[in-house]
Amino acid sequence: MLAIADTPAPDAVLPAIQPAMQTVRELVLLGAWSPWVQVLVGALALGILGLTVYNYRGLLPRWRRVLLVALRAAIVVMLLAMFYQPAILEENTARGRNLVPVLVDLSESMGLPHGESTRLELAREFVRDHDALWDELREGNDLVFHGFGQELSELPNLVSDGDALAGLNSDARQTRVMEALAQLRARYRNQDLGAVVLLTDAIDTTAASRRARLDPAGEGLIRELDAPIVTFALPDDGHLKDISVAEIVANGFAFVMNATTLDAIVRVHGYSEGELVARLLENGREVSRQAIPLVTGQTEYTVTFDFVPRKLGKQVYGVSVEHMPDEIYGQNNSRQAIVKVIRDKVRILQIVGQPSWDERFLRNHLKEDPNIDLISFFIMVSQDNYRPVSSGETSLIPFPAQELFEEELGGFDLAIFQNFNYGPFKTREYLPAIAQFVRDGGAFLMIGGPKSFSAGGYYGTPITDVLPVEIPPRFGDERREDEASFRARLTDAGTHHPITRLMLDPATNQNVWENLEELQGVNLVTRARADAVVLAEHPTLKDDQGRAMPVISVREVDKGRSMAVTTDSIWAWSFPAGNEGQDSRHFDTFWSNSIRWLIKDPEMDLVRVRAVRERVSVGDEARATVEVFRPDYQPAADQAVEVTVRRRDEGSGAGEGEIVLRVDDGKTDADGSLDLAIRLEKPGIYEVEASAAVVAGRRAVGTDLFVGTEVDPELETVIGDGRLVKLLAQASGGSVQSLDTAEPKVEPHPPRVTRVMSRRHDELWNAPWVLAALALLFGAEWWLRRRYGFL
Amino acid sequence: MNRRRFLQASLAMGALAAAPSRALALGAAQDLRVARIRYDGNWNVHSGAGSTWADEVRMRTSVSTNPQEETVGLEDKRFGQRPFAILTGDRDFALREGEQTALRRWLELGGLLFIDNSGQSEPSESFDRAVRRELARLFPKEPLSRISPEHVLYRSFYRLDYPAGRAIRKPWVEGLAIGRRYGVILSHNDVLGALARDPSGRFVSTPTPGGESQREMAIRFAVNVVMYGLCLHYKDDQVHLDYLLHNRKWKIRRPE
Repeated sequence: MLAIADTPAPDAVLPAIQPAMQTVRELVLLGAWSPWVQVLVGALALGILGLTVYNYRGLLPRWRRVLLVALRAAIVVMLLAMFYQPAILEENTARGRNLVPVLVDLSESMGLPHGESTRLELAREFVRDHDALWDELREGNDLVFHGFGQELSELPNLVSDGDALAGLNSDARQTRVMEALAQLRARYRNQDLGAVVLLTDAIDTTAASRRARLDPAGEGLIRELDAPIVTFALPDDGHLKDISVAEIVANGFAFVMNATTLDAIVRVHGYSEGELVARLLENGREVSRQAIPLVTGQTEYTVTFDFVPRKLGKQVYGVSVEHMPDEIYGQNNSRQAIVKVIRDKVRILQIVGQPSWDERFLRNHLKEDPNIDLISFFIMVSQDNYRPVSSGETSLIPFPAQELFEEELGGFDLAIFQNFNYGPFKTREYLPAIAQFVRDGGAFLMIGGPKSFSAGGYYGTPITDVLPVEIPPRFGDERREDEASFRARLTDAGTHHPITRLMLDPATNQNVWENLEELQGVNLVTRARADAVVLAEHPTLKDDQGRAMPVISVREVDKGRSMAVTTDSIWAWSFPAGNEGQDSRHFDTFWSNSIRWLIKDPEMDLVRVRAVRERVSVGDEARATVEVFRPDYQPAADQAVEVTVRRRDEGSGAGEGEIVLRVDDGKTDADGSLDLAIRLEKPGIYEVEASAAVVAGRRAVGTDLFVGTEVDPELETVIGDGRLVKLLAQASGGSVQSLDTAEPKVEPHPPRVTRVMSRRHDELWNAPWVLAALALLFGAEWWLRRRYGFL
Repeated sequence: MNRRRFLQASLAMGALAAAPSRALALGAAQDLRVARIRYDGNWNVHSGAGSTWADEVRMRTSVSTNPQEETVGLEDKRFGQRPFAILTGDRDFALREGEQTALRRWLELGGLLFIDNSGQSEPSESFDRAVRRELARLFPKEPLSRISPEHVLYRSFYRLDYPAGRAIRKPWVEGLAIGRRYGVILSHNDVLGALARDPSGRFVSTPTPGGESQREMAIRFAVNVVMYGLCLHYKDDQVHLDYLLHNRKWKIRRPE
């Protein structure tokens, strides 16, 4: 048996900790036997005792029997004691000193009145009046002081430095309790905390204060702190009065002309009778109002507004509650949120010249997308059909060309001509309308096939004016198609364009394109138009200028967009590719990308404006970033950009209002970005519009909105409910007490043992007296057994 | 649509006859071609009937077809390029594991398999059992179910009341649903028997009990199967239903 004696060198103890020495003695068992051995030995001991009782069952008088059994039991007990090897462990230990940080809330809300004084003064009095608490905490702990608001700040010892205490200022414009605790943890990462003391009005300006429980990051932070968080918070002050719109709960988007809802959380303190009126404002114009009946004891009300967005694009919705003259703070009675109003569905018109596998897989893709409202027309019979069909026996319906192209076309976002020849359907007269539809902002996609492009008779029609490619005339049965198989080759523009981005990583995307399933057959075109962007090309065929024949090309046409896919075999990327073991989803990705680009998904705009924050306080600087791309979606470096920032008048829409900033000579940097800073002087809805001449013939435009508000974020809520500090106390084993309590209690964790200075085992079982006692017991038993006739 | 517009549209449709070009796909792979599946068993019943099928589709519709029936094994590369295939037989058979894997993937990717029970006097029970067993192995959670007469399969081109074949043993077909479409259609009426021709081009059998009018119905059903494969639920689109319900006074139910 080994006795461990560890005596470290004195200088191994960290000098800064100034450890307290302590000696601890405890009984330990050195026999670390496995459970099976212990069970075996226990069974053996019980067996011996049982046999002893059995052997002496006839011994009389009875006291002799008891005496012999007792002697045997004593021997067994002594042997068991030797088996377990009991010892006294004596340790001399050094304990460190824990840190107890005291965090004082220095946010603006601490400057609000409390009775005759202010909240900050109440905190000062707490520090001054509780010397006993600080003395108690100093035993075994080191006290440090910090201020917090937006972030943690250093403070001198406020208990000993009265001037510093008197000079505290509450000027932080936000209160971020969790952020302060995280900075505290980082600041004292290598030291143990005994407790964390918060002196605050219990108002937190972050989302953490509105949650019913701590988020996983918050829970992790509490575990890392490993110390009770004791909050001394503002006592309940019933005479304070305030009404605030604490939060607007709305989806970030809504569908135009579809009823939607928006919830506002309204907090009411100090008013318990009558009713308040809440108004919903759309871009400053009232669209709905709700009465809030007040209930005694209730401070939080949820007001639900039902409304129908009528304008597309980003809209500012505000909720405003009437202001009472005796409120403590009057600027927090309204709040705004930006809602993006989008179409409920993308409406697509698909006209197909003949059923085919290419049509089947594209239609299936479009039908599977719940955001697409698809109207299809397939030409199911042709002049080649030798057997005339009776309309009564078939489900064929006439092709409603006039209805579609004269009346309904404007209701579609995208028109697809898939291997469709217009000739037999007397639709030539409608082709100008289709071209105009594109120029006015619609999208047009022509997909190849034996009835498409030149073979469809489109040469010289208005349709060719909006296509990305020029097509040759066709005379008689002259073929303008090539039937050979080929693998489409990505162009330089295609490597950056969102349509052909089948994978996010450019290198992986290039590799995917190089291994895509082969296509079969293309419609021959003369050339790509000068302002078109060719995304994929034929590897061998050339156009009339000797350049590779375009296979996939796109073009911006005035306000609209067009796309040409000169093959009817894109479906090869789906079914045949999947059966070959390739990823059949490339087909879906390609068409999804194409449709998003064609309908001008804002994520694919060439000029994108992004306001860094949706709400900016008056006096602060609003920031926005403008990103500009070339038509092939490479960043437009050193690109001239015009920027206009407008403050919209109440009720006005896009492009209206007072111009507060105009930049005529903006230039993008090497990444195609331009950063803007706008100093806000008035509240309102601000529109940032940027435009750049990256597309031939017109300027690409991007816009974004933000709200300028007079509400100080710190003062949006002036009466806290203490939810967050209660959660912190609950999770950390701390407590929430009042700042005006007479007997504050903080029970810090005891300091940890930092080092064992020495350790010694006094083994109880191998002392000489144990062997002597054992020999005596054996001898006595032997003598008595002999005397009673058992030997 | 008012009467005037209907007349205009009908004229537009009538103008098809004057349209100049013949429909050819840009490459052979784009044409519809009937692929007959070769398996360990009696797979070649009514050999060549697939050619008649493709030919009838070409003659009656705008679909571009290749009239040569093609024989493919389930593990052949060519099978993976043909989204429409037929499997015929009249006796027991079993698919190998590799064939099952290929067929499951083919169906999940969008293929349409037409299975035709070619039993002579009655549907072959052993073939029927084998089909159900193999499909149960492929899709254990998707049983074959009777396709409703309201289903778009019966009006994907022709309006039909029942599925005819060389015989009319059961006035229904069964289907195996994969997602919202039927990936497998099982016929008990020997449709291929009604389409099969001898080398001289004459039909080899006389459909019973309806004779040539029944053959016409069988061909129409075959055309509908192909159009269902190519257009799926196109004829369930609102615009078609509205027209058929109001202008033709069809009594059909709207799909759920």
